[in-house]
Amino acid sequence: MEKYSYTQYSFPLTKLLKMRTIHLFILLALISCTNKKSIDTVSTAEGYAPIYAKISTAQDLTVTNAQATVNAGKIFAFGDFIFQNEIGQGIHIIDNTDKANPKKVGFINILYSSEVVIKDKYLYANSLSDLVVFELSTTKVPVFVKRIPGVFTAATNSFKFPSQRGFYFECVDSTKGTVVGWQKKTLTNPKCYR
Amino acid sequence: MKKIVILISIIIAFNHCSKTGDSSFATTTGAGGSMARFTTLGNYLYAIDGDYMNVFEISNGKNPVFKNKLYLGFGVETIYPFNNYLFIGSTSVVYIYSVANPEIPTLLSTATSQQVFRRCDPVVAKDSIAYATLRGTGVCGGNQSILAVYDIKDINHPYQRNFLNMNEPMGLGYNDNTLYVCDAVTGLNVFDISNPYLPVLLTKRTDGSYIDVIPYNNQLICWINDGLLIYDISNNANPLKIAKIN
Repeated sequence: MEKYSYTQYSFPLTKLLKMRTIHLFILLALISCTNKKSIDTVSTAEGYAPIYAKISTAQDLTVTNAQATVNAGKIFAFGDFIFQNEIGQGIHIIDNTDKANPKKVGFINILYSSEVVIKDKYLYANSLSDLVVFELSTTKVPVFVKRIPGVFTAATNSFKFPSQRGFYFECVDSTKGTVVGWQKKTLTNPKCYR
Repeated sequence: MKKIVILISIIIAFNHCSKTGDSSFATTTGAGGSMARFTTLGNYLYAIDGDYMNVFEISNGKNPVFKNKLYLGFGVETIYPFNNYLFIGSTSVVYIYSVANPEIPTLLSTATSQQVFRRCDPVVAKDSIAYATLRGTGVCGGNQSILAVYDIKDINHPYQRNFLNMNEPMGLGYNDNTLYVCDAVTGLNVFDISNPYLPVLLTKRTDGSYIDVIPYNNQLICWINDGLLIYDISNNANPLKIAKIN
């Protein structure tokens, strides 16, 4: 088991506790209005349905063949290598040993990634709400060594509800996984509204 | 001075290029771009998470230890290390944090601009100067964009000394006396900064839509909207295209 200190993170809670009771009631009332409004029953409606995170596959966190760049992301230079994020998919590995002829040599599969930084021989990246670590071995093929789950909460928090208001939406079923987005859809018997 | 008092973002590009050419990964110093949200400083990994920053201790690189989650402020976008400071760009100001206590960075000061109301950042710092692009277009809001030049001699009281108008500036980086500023589809701007407070435009490159740059080992590595562009900058003032990778 990993143990994390959440000392600093408790700040918002402290603030909340200092609020007067009446304020808390107002806050609760607002939350209730916004997210759990008792809604008229409709058979169908245009609204939004959650997109659940793809289940990690055996290929996730492995290094595979070089692939074409589709959504180019952030870059990091390290020795004779350049790394470029493929937004949401992973990291391209570019061998720059021959300065006149740099070329892609592989791809690190990291679903829901956007960042990459390297210190010494360890590469750090995000995968949705997790921090993942790869070791850049002597063969220069990164090897997955560590995952710290649940440390990045901003992205997942932002998808708890569709950002659009005034629409029905399909209630989130947490057993189906983490929500990573919302798609417009014709809903049947929607139970949630925002 | 203009009436509108606004905050500018500083992103310090810490282009600490290792020119040793050491092929051993264990001793190589890497470099990130000015748009990064993850960075390392000393034995710590600092990672922006929404309006918060996660602090991980990485003395044992393969086993990071989560130390803290600190609230920074609204609209945090970028982080850049410079000396013992973290420059954190947000959509309203640039925060300068001290890492005297590396596990609990503390806010020292904020840098602002009087030209741009809301903007997207990135920054680089060199000696006692910081260069930041303040993009007031598109999702960033506002309607003016500039390259801001900050005096950071007194890290507790940064102030803007100069600015140049830009179109849609994004990431930036420098090597010696040359500053490279990405200005999206309008090109890569190459400035002479021999006089650091008065950047002089030397030339432009228009081989793509430029987002961010890393000067590294006599090369300029550019993130463009459809991949990578690499230039030889043996002569800093005259980038020569080597390859496009996509």
